[in-house]
Amino acid sequence: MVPLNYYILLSGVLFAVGIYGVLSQRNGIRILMCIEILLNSANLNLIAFSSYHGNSTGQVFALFSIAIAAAEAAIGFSILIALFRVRDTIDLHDINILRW
Amino acid sequence: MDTIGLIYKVISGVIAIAFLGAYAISVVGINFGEPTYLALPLIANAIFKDFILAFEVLSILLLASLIGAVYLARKNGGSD
Repeated sequence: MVPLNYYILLSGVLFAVGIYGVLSQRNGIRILMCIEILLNSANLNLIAFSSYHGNSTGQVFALFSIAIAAAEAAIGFSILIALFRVRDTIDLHDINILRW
Repeated sequence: MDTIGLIYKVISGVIAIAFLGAYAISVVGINFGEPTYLALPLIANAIFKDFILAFEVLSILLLASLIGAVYLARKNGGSD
């Protein structure tokens, strides 16, 4: 039987990988992939705690969270496609039209 | 590699490792007990009875994001 601590530690490792990627990468697609890793680590925590607590609400919430992540990824990638058509780059350090 | 990218990578690595360290210290050594296995009908009842409103709203969200993604990724989308 795997203790709950291992699930939580795996979730923390995934979160750290995602945080590193979001903060250090410059490619928009890589940043979106790292955001997906962050969301998946949160889902892993939700499902592990739900299973250990005997309450099914966490698993339902993880399912909804996956659907919302799909919507977010669709919008993010379409924004990147539109941005690439206009600017010919998806390097997010070069795109500063919303920065002041 | 340019120096500014290297600086970003180092700062990001420090932040990620600091987070992981604090997280692991706060979790290791706690005894959470044994898991209780949930029957699948319990989850089905939760989705389709308790959270049916959220389920339906989610379908509207997915439809809206589908339409928005198609609108943005069209040719000339997002620029005019």
